[in-house]
Amino acid sequence: MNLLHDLGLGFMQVFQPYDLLMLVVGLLVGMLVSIMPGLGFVMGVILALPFTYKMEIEPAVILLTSIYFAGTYGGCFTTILYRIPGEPNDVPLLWDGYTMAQKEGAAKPLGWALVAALIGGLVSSVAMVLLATPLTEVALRFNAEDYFGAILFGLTMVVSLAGKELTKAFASLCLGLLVACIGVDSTYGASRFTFGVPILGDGVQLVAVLVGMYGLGEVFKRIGQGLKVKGIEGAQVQKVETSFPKWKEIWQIKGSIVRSSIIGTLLGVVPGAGATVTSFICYGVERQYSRDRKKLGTGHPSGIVAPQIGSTASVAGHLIPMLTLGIPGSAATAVILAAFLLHGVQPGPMLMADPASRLIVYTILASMFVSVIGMCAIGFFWIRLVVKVLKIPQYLLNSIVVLFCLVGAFADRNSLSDMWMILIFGVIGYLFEKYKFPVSPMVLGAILGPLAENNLMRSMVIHKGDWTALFTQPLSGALMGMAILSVLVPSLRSIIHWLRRRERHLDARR
Amino acid sequence: MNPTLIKCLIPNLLLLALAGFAYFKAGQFDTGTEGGFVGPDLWPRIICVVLALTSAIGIIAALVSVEAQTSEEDEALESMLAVPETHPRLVWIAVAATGLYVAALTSIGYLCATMLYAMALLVIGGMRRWAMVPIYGAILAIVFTIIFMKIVYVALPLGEGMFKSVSLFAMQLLGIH
Repeated sequence: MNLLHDLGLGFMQVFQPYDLLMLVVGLLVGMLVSIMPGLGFVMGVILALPFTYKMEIEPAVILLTSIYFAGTYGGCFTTILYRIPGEPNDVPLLWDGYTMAQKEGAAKPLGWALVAALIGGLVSSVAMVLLATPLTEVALRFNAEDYFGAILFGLTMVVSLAGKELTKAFASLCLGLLVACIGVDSTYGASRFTFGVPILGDGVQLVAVLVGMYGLGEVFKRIGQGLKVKGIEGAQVQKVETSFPKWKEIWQIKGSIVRSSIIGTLLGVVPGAGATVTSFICYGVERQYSRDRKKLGTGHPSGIVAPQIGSTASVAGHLIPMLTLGIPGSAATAVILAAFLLHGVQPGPMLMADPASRLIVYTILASMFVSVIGMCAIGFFWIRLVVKVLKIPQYLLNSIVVLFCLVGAFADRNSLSDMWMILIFGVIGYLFEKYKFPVSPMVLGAILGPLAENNLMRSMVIHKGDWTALFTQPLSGALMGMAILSVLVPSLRSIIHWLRRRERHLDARR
Repeated sequence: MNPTLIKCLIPNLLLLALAGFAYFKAGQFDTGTEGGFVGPDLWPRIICVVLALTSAIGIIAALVSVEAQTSEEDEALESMLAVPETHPRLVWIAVAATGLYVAALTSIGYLCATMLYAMALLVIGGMRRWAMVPIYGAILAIVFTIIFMKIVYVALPLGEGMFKSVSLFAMQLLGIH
């Protein structure tokens, strides 16, 4: 009953005029950035971040969360209509969404995508609201070792999901953790890696890392590509309409809906498994186990519903560990965490324990439901207007993004040093993209590094420097074991894969 | 030497050097603790060791690996998502322009600097309607000034001397106090 009461209060807060306005603005921005090729919902939340500095915490987070939600859905329009995946998570929609649009017109696949986004968003939101309190209760029992174990597990999961580039992901994570060490150490007050530069004494601002790596770095990469976007040249303008599938048709693919909703929600909780990974896995599962698996790729509804449910369901899944444990699992939740920190609020179990801040959490949880319904309404009614943004020239879009990144970062502390920092991290972000180093581990490392270090140091002080305490406590031991396994398993898989490839290569030579 | 190998080795060698340097610098922190107990250098040193190990594995992997053989599916997916880099020089021109912009902000003020920078970005981005470049640049500078000074209340640099007068005059016209 407490849950419903708190959620009710959250809904009342969401329907306050200013919060509701921010939600609608967020949904529109999310739709726009996910439709504009080359931008994405991560860029959307980054560009919106400076506007949240002067807001209260609730509208600020509602704005960013609604951008994130709408961003996982908006890209389906360009994918289905023009064969341009707005976001990487929309790629699986090409196989069945675009094919169905070619065969039966775009209205039907767009309708399927809308229904999928609605189901995925609502199911995962309900699941996460139910999970929030138990997760907080578990987190409240965490001691320093457990917290360190949980953070380490989160970070290693992000690394392990880097696929073939495991060593690069690890290097990226280490760089992020080193960046977080810059400045005055909070336990001993010692200056670390400041090299006598006064501005480094305060450490590197999170905003600079986020905006530089994800924002400016991305723009530099696109400049290097000549601001070309795959597929846009051949884009043919189609009539934009959405027609809902019939109940009978939805019932026929109930298996796909249930499977994708469960997988999407569960994977959302796993750090690093963002909307893209979830969308591909949901599609892959359908291809392997669906009754209609042979029809996938030919314009079958399951091929649209599964990835779309997966993408949208992962958002709520990501938000809950961030709110209850303070551990962001994706780039977008890292930005939302930064928004919390900029407002002087540390997400984590204490946020739910305090009645005043619990309202903030339930307001955000309530906003997830309103966001899902709102984005589907916008998708249904206003999409004809929204897709017109495709006509904005890339050079103009590019200039707007760069100016937002630079001035937005300046606005945080009115400091030109932050602009220099952004430029430095922008160049690092570009080099990362160029040499195929994943960006997310570095950013998450920079965000979670201080938290990990504080808990490690506390544990070391409590146990008088005995590091085995991390492994001998039941919960922290299990988490440390899972962290080690999450690195070992993909490493071993890579080695086996490499050995097999080598064998094949040698056989071919013979 | 194989250029692909060099491309793989250089970042790993740089990271190895960075790890060594950071480890050495961590040894110079003012720990303020008795020997044998944890200090502010512990965490950075752990990271440096992991980074060094990772780079070493990266170097070994680059040296012993056979030519990459990606599956057809991987290639199809990559070609769907990736666009090849065709203008690497433009990136460094954009970086230089951004550096100049940040350096010039204090002296020539936000409005003028942003107008010039926006023009540069438009040209770097491929806009070739030369007559429209200054107009677009001016519109962008004005719109961003309004957004950040009038809506977000950020005190953007006004510049010095003549540029300060221009900024103040423009602010007056835009109704920014």
